[in-house]
Amino acid sequence: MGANRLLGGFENLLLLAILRLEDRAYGVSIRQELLDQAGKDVAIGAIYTGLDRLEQKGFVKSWTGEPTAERGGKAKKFYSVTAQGKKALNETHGALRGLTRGLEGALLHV
Amino acid sequence: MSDFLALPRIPTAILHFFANQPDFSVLLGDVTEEFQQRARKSGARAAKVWFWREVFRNVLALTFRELSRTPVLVAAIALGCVAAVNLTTGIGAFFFVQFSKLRLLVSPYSRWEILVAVQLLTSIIVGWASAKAAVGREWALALIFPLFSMAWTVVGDAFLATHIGAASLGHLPRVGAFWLGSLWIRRSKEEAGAL
Repeated sequence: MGANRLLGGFENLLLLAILRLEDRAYGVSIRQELLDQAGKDVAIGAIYTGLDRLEQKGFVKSWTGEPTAERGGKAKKFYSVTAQGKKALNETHGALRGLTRGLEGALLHV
Repeated sequence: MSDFLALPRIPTAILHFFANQPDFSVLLGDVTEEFQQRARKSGARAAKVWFWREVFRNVLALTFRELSRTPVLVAAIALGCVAAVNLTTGIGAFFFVQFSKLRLLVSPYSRWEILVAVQLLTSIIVGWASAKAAVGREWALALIFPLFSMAWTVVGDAFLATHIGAASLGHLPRVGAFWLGSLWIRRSKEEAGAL
């Protein structure tokens, strides 16, 4: 396992949110998914900072949608997780599973 | 759309300070969309309160984003700017001392005024030029410059113990003038619609 491929906490959450949203992943929906599923209320600017980083690493790819009136004529930018991103997620979660194996009892009794 | 509620002007203007960041248009679209959804769901007042809060959270996030994009480059340019401003002032001081030795042109009191003017003018020009060189990083530059300027002042104070007051007094106007030069570029580019 390449330890340098392990994701940071926020990167991990972003990739999981995008995966869950499938082809509907853009700023607002990602923010809402993080709030609903992870209880994290993140500023949209912070989301784009993280997405920038993930795109530079090749873990996500983006494309621009059509502008809508509700958005003041601005387009949406959609994201999807690349094969490389899925591999990084697998490695990170594999490492987490390895480290938490045998700790179930200790983690439950917090 | 008939029920489209206009975004509050002041926070929108604050947000536009970051208009040169990548994906700014998309980000603005996202907050606009969420603002409209909240206005329909909870009313205009609640949506405006949310928008103000969101803008301040985004200012922090976007400032961090700008600082983290190319920190080494921004630090190097800021250091170069502080050196350029002080070098120019130093060369100016040398010539003024030479003039005063010859008892020409200036008195010992007005000499400092002229030096301050040289430093302010240089700071504006250096701020302007550096913002041209670091497009999209003007705000990061404006935040880093005061740190290096302060460090320069502290080191300068240590070496020139007799001029502590002058060196410290020079710091704030120098920073103000640099901000004027570097951030004016950002505003003017935005207004020109070049972003």
